[in-house]
Amino acid sequence: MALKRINKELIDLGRDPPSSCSAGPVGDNMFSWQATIMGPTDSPYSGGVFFLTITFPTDYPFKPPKVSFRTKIYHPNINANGSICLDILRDQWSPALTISKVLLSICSMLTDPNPDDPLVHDIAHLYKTDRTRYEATAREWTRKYAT
Amino acid sequence: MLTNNVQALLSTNIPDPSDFPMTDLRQLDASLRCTICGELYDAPITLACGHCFCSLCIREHIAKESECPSCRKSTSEGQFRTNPVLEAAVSAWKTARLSREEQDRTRKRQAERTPRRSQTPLINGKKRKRSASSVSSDSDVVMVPGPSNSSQFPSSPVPSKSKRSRRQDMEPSSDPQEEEMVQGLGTLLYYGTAMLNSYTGGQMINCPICNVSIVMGDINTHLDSGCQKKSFNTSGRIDANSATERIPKASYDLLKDKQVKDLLHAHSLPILGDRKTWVARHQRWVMIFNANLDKSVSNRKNTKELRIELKNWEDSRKRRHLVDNTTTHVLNNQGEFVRLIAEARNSKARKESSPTGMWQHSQDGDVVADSEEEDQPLS
Repeated sequence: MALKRINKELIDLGRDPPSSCSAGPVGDNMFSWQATIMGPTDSPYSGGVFFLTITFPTDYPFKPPKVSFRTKIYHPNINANGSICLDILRDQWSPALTISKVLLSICSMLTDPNPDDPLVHDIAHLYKTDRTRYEATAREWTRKYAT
Repeated sequence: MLTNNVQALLSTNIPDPSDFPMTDLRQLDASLRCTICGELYDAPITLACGHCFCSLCIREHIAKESECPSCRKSTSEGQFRTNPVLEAAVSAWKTARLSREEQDRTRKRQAERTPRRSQTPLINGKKRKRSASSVSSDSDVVMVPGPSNSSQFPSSPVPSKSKRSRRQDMEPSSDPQEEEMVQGLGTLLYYGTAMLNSYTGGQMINCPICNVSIVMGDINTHLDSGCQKKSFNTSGRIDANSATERIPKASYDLLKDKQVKDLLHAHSLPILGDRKTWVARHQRWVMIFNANLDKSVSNRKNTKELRIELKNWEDSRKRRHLVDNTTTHVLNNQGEFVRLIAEARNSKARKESSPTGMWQHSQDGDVVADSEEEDQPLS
């Protein structure tokens, strides 16, 4: 079931790729993927290329995939280990979701961070109080680590 | 290596909505697919919220989370309703899909040859016939060779014949209709008894363990018997169409080892491994067995096929794909990342070159539908 569904998603991504994201398996192991996301143009991450790793559990899609950033990013919902605080990757996961949708959600999270459910409190605080400084730092990190 | 992987996958011809270049057919194909497994519906089940899933998929999901995967409305096994009409639609579409593919191939072949107009209809007729025979031989995909009325013929010409006639007459076979009628009758009977019970003072409630609806007065005897006793007052739950009934859920924590063994024994399942394995095996068996009963009678598999399915499932659990160290993995596959960057850059360039920006991409229906669906879990 899991492998079949993952194959289907890969085919779907190949034939109908989402904009500014890409994903695919690493080598022969279909349960371990890598992905890239281009920083959205209307965000301070614009111009950056972000790497992610995706690990599928054996009972996918009944359990969510593990998605984490490999590129350092300055974001209230992403910590230094690259862990992402996104509800659909945790308790709000649904087997009807796909990797394509998850990547699109992460893209929209880059544009609109959720400072009310932060993973890094300092960044969330800065985002709420001093938007311009947050954006400057995010832009700086993007330039430094993601280009 | 990766590109080979993807290329190999793309050439293996896994059926997918994107097989169709035309948006309308693509949407039709996508709308007949289960959002959990991505396959055309197999024994479709409708929940109270109206969303449909394959029986086995939703049963597996409900074991973990009691909400609809699409809209997150709470649901339970008691709300499951089989959908024979959708099942008939799916099986008709499967046939149409195959003959369409065959037509496309014929057209391609014809284009390669010198076009001879006078012979075109003849060739088409031939191809159609051939596709029909391929339908009957490819029983795995199109029609489960499960014999009707539980006789033990492996794959008799009967299903293929009915398939052919269905296609010629362009009307659904009588089976689903019959089933609908019988089911309607079952519902009537069910409500009849429920009403009767309400007059006689007995109220129908769901058993908290096995979820079978039962007269309130009988619930204690039912629970004391470990849900083993067949619930006689639940005509609504019993499939009037077949001799077999759905297996009730068991509360494994309350059972001793021997009782769990007995459960497996009752279905002649192997008693290998430890208690955890037994429970998992029995749980899966209940799912497979009950999901099979959600199909219309002519599509059901026999017990032998279900056992093979169970065995395949156990085998697939044994060889787990262990996750290796992702960090080293990424380092070792730096080249792949470079390729993925290029891909992402390309798609971004495409996006920016289009005047409408993001929505340019969503001109074909699939993507629009996807992004709409996506809004739900996020909001």
